[in-house]
Amino acid sequence: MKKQRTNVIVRLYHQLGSPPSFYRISGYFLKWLLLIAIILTGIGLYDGLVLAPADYQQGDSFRIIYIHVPMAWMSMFVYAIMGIAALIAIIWRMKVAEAVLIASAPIGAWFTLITLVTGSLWGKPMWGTWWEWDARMTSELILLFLYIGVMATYTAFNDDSRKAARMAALIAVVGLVNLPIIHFSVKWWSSIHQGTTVSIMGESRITWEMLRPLLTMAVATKFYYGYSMLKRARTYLLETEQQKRWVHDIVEEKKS
Amino acid sequence: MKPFFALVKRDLTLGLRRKSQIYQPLVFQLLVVTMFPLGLGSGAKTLALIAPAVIWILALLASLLTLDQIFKNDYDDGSVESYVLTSYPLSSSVLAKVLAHWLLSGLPLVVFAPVIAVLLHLPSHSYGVLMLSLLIGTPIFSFIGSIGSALTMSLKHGGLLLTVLVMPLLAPVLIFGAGAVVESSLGNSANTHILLLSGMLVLCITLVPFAAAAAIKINLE
Amino acid sequence: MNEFLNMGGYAFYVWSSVGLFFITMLVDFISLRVKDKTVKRNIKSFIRRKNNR
Repeated sequence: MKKQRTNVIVRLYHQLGSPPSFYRISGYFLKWLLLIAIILTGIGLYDGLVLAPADYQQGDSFRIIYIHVPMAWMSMFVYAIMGIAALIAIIWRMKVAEAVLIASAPIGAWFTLITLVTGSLWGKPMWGTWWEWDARMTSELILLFLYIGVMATYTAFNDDSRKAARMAALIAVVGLVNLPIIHFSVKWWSSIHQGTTVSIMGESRITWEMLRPLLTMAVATKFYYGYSMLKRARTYLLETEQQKRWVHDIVEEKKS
Repeated sequence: MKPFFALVKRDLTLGLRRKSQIYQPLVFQLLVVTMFPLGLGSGAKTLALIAPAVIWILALLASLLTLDQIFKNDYDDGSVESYVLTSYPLSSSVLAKVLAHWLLSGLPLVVFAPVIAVLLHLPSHSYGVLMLSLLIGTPIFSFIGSIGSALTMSLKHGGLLLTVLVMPLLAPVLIFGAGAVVESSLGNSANTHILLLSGMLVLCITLVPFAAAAAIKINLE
Repeated sequence: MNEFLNMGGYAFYVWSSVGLFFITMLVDFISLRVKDKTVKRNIKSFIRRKNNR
């Protein structure tokens, strides 16, 4: 009894490592993750688009920040999660880590794409151009390519999902190691090529009223990521373990 | 070290017999570089302005043509399995493969670069830096490419996937490689660029063999 | 209300950003549900085939 209590973290690790219990435990959270994500997005966007005061330099166009910046944070956050999951998948060959990795890629790519397009939509009124090769936009674009690389690797080996996932994991890790190098070289490159660095945030200081919706949205998008990733991971586990007993039990149970 | 050089020698012999790996990238470069004056106008000033970027991008694209062959042929004839099965470390075999690939298709690009540079009116004082930067940069292409090749060797049509995987990772090489030539053509010192490129090469030598070895092992599972 | 929709003259940029965000999330949401349904249906028919045999 005592021994079990001291090993609660270890036990949780092993439980989450086994696909059936991961499926069961994640099932408790799914609904709540989605619900909280929707509520927080509603609050955050109402707060950001209606209540927050307009920026004195950028007027109302700065409100794009409430989409753009949380998405940019998420694009990097998801890649970090992917990288960690990939390392676990390679080192311990944990099936659930593979599921997390593969399930994170599409939503991460969506976040990155929204970051790019909203950045463009913000750039047009502010800089007068849809696209500027500045450091952040360029590295975000390369990040999108890295996401596409992971997804493309997985789809290329579609006849063997285990192998495909481990290949994708390898590419994710290689990308993770390269990301800082890419980031700093692009930053350095753009500082050479441009006399003045373009900055969306400018000198204008952000007040609490402006920051509050931003943080709300940052939390809301994390919850949606949690939902999307877990749901996809569950589907992935069902699909790849479809020969197994527990999958049959779950699917049959749903039918009756 | 004996198996290492034996493997390099074997690859060189095979490559020299086939030859296409050597001349195809060069012909490709020559063809594409001809298109630039035709599309852009033959003004020496314009061409000299874009020369560093064009030469480097051409080197990158020409390398991409042959990158999939690092492991592809060996996978098809089954010799990759022998690298895994022998007691000789797989990562060292990868290093040998990369070295052989670079000697066959990277080094010719370096040697051929002045020809392209002449056609694009690159200022003559930049030739040294151009060749030096390519000498350091093209091995990085082969290194990163070896990971891509190890991943895609079992696929029938892995070429596009290889490009998707390798291109983003090579962005820093292009930045500093072309950057070095730009700086020198403007009369500035290119030391920083060259040193950063060298740093990347060292990083590649130490890390890439293990990544590529891991990819090979997963692929053969 | 009109003033709110107008977004100080930046209506197009702000609302297309918001719209894009919602459409993309919706696409993600629908695609993962469709995928889940398809996978479950496939497994069901897989089980049925196995039982019939």
